[in-house]
Amino acid sequence: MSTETLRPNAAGDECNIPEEVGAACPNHYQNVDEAVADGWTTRVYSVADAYTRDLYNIADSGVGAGTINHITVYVVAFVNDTPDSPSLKIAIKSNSTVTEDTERTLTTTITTLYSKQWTTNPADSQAWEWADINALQVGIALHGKPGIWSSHCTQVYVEVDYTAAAEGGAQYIRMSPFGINVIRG
Amino acid sequence: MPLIEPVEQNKILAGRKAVDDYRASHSMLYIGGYYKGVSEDHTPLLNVMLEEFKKQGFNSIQEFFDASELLNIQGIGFTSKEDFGAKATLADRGTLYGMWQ
Repeated sequence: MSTETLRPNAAGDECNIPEEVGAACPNHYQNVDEAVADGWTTRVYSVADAYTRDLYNIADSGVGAGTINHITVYVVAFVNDTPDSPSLKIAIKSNSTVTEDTERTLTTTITTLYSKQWTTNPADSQAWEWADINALQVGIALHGKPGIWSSHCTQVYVEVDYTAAAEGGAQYIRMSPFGINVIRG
Repeated sequence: MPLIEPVEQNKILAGRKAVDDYRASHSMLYIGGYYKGVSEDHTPLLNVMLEEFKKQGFNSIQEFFDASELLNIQGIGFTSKEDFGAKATLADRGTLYGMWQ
C-alpha cells in the first residue's frame, strides 16, 4: 500500500471561520497549507461561541490509478487556554455532501495532530474513486468562548491510502517454448 | 512568577520580529497565486524563524509564543497566565486579544 499527501491549494465553498493570522477569506487555505506546521504564526481561529466552518479545495491526485483503501484528513489544532467544551470538527465535502466528524476537545499543545479516516465516500457510501479525490474539499469547524478561550487551526491535509494497480490483482504464469512469463491480472 | 527582565524582553521582541518577517515572506509566496510546491517552500522560511528563536534562547514555536504571551499579560498588570486566568475581567481579555500575537 502507498499513500499520497494532498494539501489545500484553493478556496473551497465555505470560508466562515471569523478570524485569521495570514490571508483573509476567501484565501484561508494559505494559512493551513504548509508542509511543516507553523503553529501560531499563520492560522485560522475562532472566539465565537458557535461552530463556523471553512472548506478548502485540495490539489488533484498525481497518482490517479489503483484502488483507494481509505482517506485520512489530518488537522493540527489547539486552544489558547483550557477549554470547557469540545471545539473542533473535521469536515469533508464530496459531491454536494458535507460530512463532519465528531467533536474533539483541543489542548494548548500547538503540535497535536487530529485525524479522521473515511473508508468509503460518505456522499454515496461507495468506495472512493480518484474522481472523488480530485473533487474533494477538506475543512474544519471551530468555535471558542468569547472573551475566555479560542480555537486555532494551523495545518490541514489529506492522505490517500491506495494500492497501486501493479500491487494488486492476480498473477498468472504462462509457460511457453520461450520460457516462463508472469502476467499480472 | 517574576516579571520578565528587560534583557529577556529584548529576546522576545527579537522573536516577534522573526515571526513578523516570516509572515511577510509567507504572504509573498502567494503573490503570483498558488503553485505546486508552495507548501514545501514554507519550510526554509520557517527554518529562518526557528533559527532566530534558537539564537534568542527559545527552542520551539510553543516556547516562544508562551513567553510572548506572558510579556503581554505582564504588560497589562498581571504576574502570570494563572493570575490572568483568575483575575482578568472581560476588558482585560479584550486588551490582551488586541496585543501582538
